[in-house]
Amino acid sequence: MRYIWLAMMTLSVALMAFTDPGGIITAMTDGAETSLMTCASLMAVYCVWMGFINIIKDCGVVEKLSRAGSPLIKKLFGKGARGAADDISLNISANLLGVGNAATPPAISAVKKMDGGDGKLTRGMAMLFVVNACGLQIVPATVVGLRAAAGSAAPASVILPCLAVSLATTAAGIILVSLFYKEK
Amino acid sequence: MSLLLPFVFIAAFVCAFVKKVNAYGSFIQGAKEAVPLAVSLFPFVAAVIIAVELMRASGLYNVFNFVFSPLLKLLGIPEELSQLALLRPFSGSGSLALLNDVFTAYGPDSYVGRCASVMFGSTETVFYIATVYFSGTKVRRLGGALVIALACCVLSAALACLLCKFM
Repeated sequence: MRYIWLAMMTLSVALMAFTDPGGIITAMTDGAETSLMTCASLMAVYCVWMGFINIIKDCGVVEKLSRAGSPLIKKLFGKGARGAADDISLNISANLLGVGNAATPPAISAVKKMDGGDGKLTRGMAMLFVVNACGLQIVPATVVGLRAAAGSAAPASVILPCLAVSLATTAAGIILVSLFYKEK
Repeated sequence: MSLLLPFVFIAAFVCAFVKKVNAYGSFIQGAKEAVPLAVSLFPFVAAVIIAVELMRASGLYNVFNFVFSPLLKLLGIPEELSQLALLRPFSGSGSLALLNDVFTAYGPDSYVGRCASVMFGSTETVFYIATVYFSGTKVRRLGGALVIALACCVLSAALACLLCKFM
């Protein structure tokens, strides 16, 4: 990650030094400003979801959910995920429902719980990251909505292919992580 | 399908009522945590967005596109979509705007439009997830996991274009 970031920054600035040196700072501050807006709207969105999730937690629903999913979670995420089962099942349910913004806070909390504090990537963390990166969801609501807005004759026709593709890549991701991050 | 979320909400509220949970108090408790979370995410989000903005402003994206589009073409991803495929892992809002451009230019029901839809719907903003998810830990080297996630992203795009040929 740090090398990719450094490469992106260095190459861009080097390129701009020739084309538009004055624009470098503007681009950077523009980016920072956009991220400030992003975080502000994230705060609003997280407020809604974290509040709602807390209601379900207090009702005991999350506990039931994670108990039901715990054999699978243990198998996929390894022993380190024991304390994070609640968060992982919330994250996966939110992803399946297609509310990615609701999936992020439990994911951050799950990663923290699986962290050994030594800066090393554990099996569970790698698995959660890859499963989320594969974007498995039942209904890709954003795409379907945009297709409908663009005047598609069959906006929902992409639901099945999307599901098939993300199932395939999620399976591939799970297999690869299991191969490369064996639990000691 | 659009009734799924309302159903989840109503079920939760009814459940809270039956179980005599103080829903109002619970909501406040949960929502309170959103403030420090969003604040702590700011530097991570900023690092990604600044890099993306610089790449856009400097034209590095076009260079990137020029270099990688033949490679993506080998995988069956049409040239019109290489920009979308390349931007998708970096920027959610940026790639959403590109998806909209594709729809306007080619129509949502054309082959390119359907490919773009499936590609967008079955992938995620990998770099954003990579920074945000690990923001609470000291883990900064994702190494193999990042490679796997990006490989899955490429696989999604290739599979999407393949599958759309048959439907």
